[in-house]
Amino acid sequence: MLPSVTTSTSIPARREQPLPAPLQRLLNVGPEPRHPYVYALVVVAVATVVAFALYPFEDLANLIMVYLLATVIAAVRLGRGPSIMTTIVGTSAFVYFFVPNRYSFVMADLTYLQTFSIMIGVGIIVSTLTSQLRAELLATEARERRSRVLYELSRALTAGDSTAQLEGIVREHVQQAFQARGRLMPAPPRELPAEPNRPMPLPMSVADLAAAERACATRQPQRTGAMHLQPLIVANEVVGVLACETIEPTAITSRGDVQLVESFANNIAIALHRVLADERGKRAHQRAEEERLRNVMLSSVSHDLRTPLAAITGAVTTLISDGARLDDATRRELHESIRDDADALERHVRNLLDLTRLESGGLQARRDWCSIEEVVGCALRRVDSLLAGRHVDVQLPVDLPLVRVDGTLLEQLLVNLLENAVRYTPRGSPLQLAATVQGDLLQLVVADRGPGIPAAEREHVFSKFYRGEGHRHATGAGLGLAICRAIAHLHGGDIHVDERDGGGASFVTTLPTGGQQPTSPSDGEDPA
Amino acid sequence: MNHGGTGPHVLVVEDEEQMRRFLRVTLRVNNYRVTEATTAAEALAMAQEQRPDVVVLDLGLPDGDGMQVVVGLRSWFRGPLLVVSARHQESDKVQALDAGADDYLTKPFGTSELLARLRVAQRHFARAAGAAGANERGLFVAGELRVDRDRHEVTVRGEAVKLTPIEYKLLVTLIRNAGKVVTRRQLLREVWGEQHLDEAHYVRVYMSNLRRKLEVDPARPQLLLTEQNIGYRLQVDV
Repeated sequence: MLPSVTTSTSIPARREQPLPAPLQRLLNVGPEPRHPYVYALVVVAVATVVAFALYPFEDLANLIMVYLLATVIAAVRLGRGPSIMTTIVGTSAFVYFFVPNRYSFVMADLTYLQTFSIMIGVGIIVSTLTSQLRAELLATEARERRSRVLYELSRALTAGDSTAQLEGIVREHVQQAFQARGRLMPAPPRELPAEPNRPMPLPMSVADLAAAERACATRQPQRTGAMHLQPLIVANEVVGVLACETIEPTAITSRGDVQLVESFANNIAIALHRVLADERGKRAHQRAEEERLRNVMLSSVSHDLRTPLAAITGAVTTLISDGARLDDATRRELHESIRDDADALERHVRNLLDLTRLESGGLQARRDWCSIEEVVGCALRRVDSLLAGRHVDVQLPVDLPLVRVDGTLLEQLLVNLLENAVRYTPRGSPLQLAATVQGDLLQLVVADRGPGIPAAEREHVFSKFYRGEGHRHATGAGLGLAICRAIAHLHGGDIHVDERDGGGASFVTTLPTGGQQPTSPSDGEDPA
Repeated sequence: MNHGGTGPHVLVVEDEEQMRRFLRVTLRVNNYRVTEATTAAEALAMAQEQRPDVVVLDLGLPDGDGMQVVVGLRSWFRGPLLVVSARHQESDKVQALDAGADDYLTKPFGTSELLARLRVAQRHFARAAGAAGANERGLFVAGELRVDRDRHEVTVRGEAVKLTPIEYKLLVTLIRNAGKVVTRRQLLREVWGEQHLDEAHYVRVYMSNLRRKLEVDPARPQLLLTEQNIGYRLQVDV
């Protein structure tokens, strides 16, 4: 059913004046019935029955109006041909049933012949006018519908920012506009392997693919069976093909539909062109970024591995060659420096391995119901020596529920945040570690009273090998926070850094709690 | 291949020369007698032949599973068995502990950690070898915690603490293994029984309750330590 004209508000203003409402209602009709001429006969029959009912009370000149009304209704509902037939058959019926010498086509009074002729003439004029009006209305509605679907398509396309998204948008809108299965194929057209998670788009035969290639080569729409293939052209470049397959092979043949497919194609071509350019740009940027990272990583790794190694080698060779001549305090200092450098090496290698495993996807989060208190306890124990007596204010609500996370990874995340805080804030300044659960989200906050992080750097600190301004020569390769982010993402969460009230940085990790709590074991409450 | 020392006899099963050297030097300085094996097969043969008091086993042996040695040894060997493993091998560690290893060390570890683990394991075996049930009864003291297992009384910092039956059972199981790591599975078996082996969160909930009753600051436990993804350890001074 076509929607009525007055309901559409989202499209540009129509050029025609709207029809008066009653006429609109009368004309507001669906597609023609299948057998319009049969309906025309039915209309005449109904008019005749009405006329019989009115015959005792009305003048003949009024009875003919019933038939005129029948003609108008037929013109509106059934189109021009059936309405002319209604006129002729109706007038004949009038003559036969009602004109004196009833039940005979012979008229007693020849003035009725004049009436008969005028009636036929009026009928034909009314039929013609009404059906023209009707055709115009239908055309207007079709135009309106086309501009609406086109408008909706172009609006949807602006939101698409990947080829895959555009494919989905095209499929949906082609379905709505043409009741057809549509598919967007970037050039050169080729059959895609079926993907398990995505419904197979429109499957294409070899002939269809050949036609798609032809559409690209000739820049003309092609047709195979029920498939319509429209080349997508932008700035003289063929960027792809729009394929539409209708259920009935005859669809997309009307002028309006062909125009609409062309308009679709233009819109889609522009969007596809934009997305392809974006994707190319992104890939180029990604490659450049990878290259940069590789360089930074090599220099960072060699620096961070070599510095402690050089120190260890130096201290050990001194101890071996001159050990006997050193006083106890010096010897002890050298030994301690060896231990510290070995620790640094271990930490660095561990970070590198962690990040590689997290990023390569080789690490699956092994989620289990964990107690945040335990995870926090383990993390604090691990950084205990590093904290060197610094105060960590731990804020854990007593009723914190169990959370479904990978305990080892979450512990690592906290350790990295704490290590980071210790490294970049003044010695002895206090730290805070807090956890809260709100709804389905766990929030972990590690906050310090250090210099804070400038707004411009807050996103970058989670990048690999990034070191804040003024920390270019800090030890550690800038992997700790990148690992934190990778761990948060692995859990479907995220991490960001805020300014802390009263000064300092506040690292906020948000993770899903994992939903329904497991059933708790029961226990008698009587003390042992 | 017996080397030096008059103290307990340790069989070190380790394929890497540097690690073997470190263990050998450290253990000998601390008065252990050291025997070395480099493969799983050699380890099993050597253990049969030399009858060591303690075994220190690297789980990452080249000729197969260190697990094989754990299972093979535990079929007859009654002494302490320590496993050494790299990080990222938690499931191996848990498997080895559940198969009868007494404790674990994660590389890299320091000398003090190694010696502490050895002492705890030896002490545990010495106690277990004593009068039957001696390890089950009597007074246990660690730091501020006193548990009188004959009278089922628990006090912390001089104050009586009321524990539920499950909490008490959990605590007593940890005391029986004081200083040693106990896997969650072992705790589930001892406290809740065979049919609850997959309910790891039971342990977490009850450990949390226990900490709240026994620790000064449950987020910084001094007694009831968590070994992430492995189990728990009741900390004792050694």
